[in-house]
Amino acid sequence: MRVGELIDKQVPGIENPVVLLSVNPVIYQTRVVDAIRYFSERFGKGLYITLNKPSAVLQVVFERGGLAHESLVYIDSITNTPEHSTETCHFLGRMRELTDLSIALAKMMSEKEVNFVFVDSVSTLLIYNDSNSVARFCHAVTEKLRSLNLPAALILVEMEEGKGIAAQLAQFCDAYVEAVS
Amino acid sequence: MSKRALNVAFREIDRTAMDALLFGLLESLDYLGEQRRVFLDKMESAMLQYLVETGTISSPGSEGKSGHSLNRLLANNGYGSKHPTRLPSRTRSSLNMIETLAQTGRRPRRAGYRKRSVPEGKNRVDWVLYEAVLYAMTKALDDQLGVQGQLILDRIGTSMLDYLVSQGAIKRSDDTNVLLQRVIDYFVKAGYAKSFRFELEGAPPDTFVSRYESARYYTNVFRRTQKEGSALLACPLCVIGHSMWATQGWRFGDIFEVRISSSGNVFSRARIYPAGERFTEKDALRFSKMKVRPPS
Repeated sequence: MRVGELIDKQVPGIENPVVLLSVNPVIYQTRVVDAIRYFSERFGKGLYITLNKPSAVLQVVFERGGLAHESLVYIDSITNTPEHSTETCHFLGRMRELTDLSIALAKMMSEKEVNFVFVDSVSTLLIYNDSNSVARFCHAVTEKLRSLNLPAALILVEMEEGKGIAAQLAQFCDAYVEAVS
Repeated sequence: MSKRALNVAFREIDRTAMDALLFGLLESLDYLGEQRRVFLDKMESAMLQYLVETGTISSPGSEGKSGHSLNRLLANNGYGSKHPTRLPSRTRSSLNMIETLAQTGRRPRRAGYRKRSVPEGKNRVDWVLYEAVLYAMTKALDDQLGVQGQLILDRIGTSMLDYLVSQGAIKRSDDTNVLLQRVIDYFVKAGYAKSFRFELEGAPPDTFVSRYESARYYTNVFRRTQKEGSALLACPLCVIGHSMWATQGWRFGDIFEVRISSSGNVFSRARIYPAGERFTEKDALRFSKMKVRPPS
């Protein structure tokens, strides 16, 4: 079943759902493309927070997956470069603090007309943050998005390290969607 | 140690270090069940590519040649013959090459692992084989998962340490500093590097400074994976260190400065984060009060 169908099945009545999307590592890439295509088709232009793969790499992957270049803007906290902005991307520098990420998020949401937010991924934040801080950050982000009526997806890759936090995050999301096959 | 012995040491590495790496690798992917094969197959193909590109085995240009040189490499290192004989391997054996290598290794006593004996006198393996595995696992994890692959690499570190302790190569200690020194001593003796020193900078510490002498991983693997755009660090000493420090709540961030000389001397600085919350209630409140223009 496609990610969009899974979301529609779990939160049929919610106009702007905030979902926690748990993905099997073996199919991680295809599921992310699948999910971003669904969000883009349903809501329009989105903000993609990439902590995992450089935005330049993702743009190529998404275009190959049939996504128009102008359908996403990015916050990139993985490309090894000093902080700067371009038309479509705010480069933060690699593995920046959660506070820096939250400021960049607020800035991008104000400056760009975005209709959804995609966080890829919560698992990456766990490399260099404690789980309490990550949970609090995700909670703050989802609250902010709800206040703006914006839908969102938080990606969590199925690993031992994310098990504890999944239950916490699921509490403040509309649905916990498992895309495991 | 004589000069000759030193040279030999850096062309080969202790077999137990290789066994620990393979054990850690398989153990950390165990939770995926049958699906771990996807990762292992990607690793196998990256490993073969590495061995060809480093001139260790023949390229697949001439029929059967690459298979023969791979056979020879594995046999010379005391490994069995159940591995692919072609590049790329279309008719594969039931075991992936990583699994084949691991099967030959010594296993902790538990069900599910077949035990095979290692030929006498082969207590060391060629460094190139060890670095091919390090390269392959980095490449496969990066291609598949990006930076979050570091979580799996650090878990490999935990399993490697368990293995080395179970084999008596390292003696367990409840004191992290003592255990860390034993890990360093083992890897230096095993032929991983001629020496390794570290220090913390900052108050509270925010930077981990490493200094290696003759560290082949950095000249051959790390340089290459960095060039390929990967931010992953598979250095066995580091991933074991990450997993040990994580038990005290410490986290390791990216390496933001690195200098590697052609002789393998390495100076690197990595961000570290002491235990404690780094996105507090106050930070959350500040974020909630930030004015954001809603979409039209």
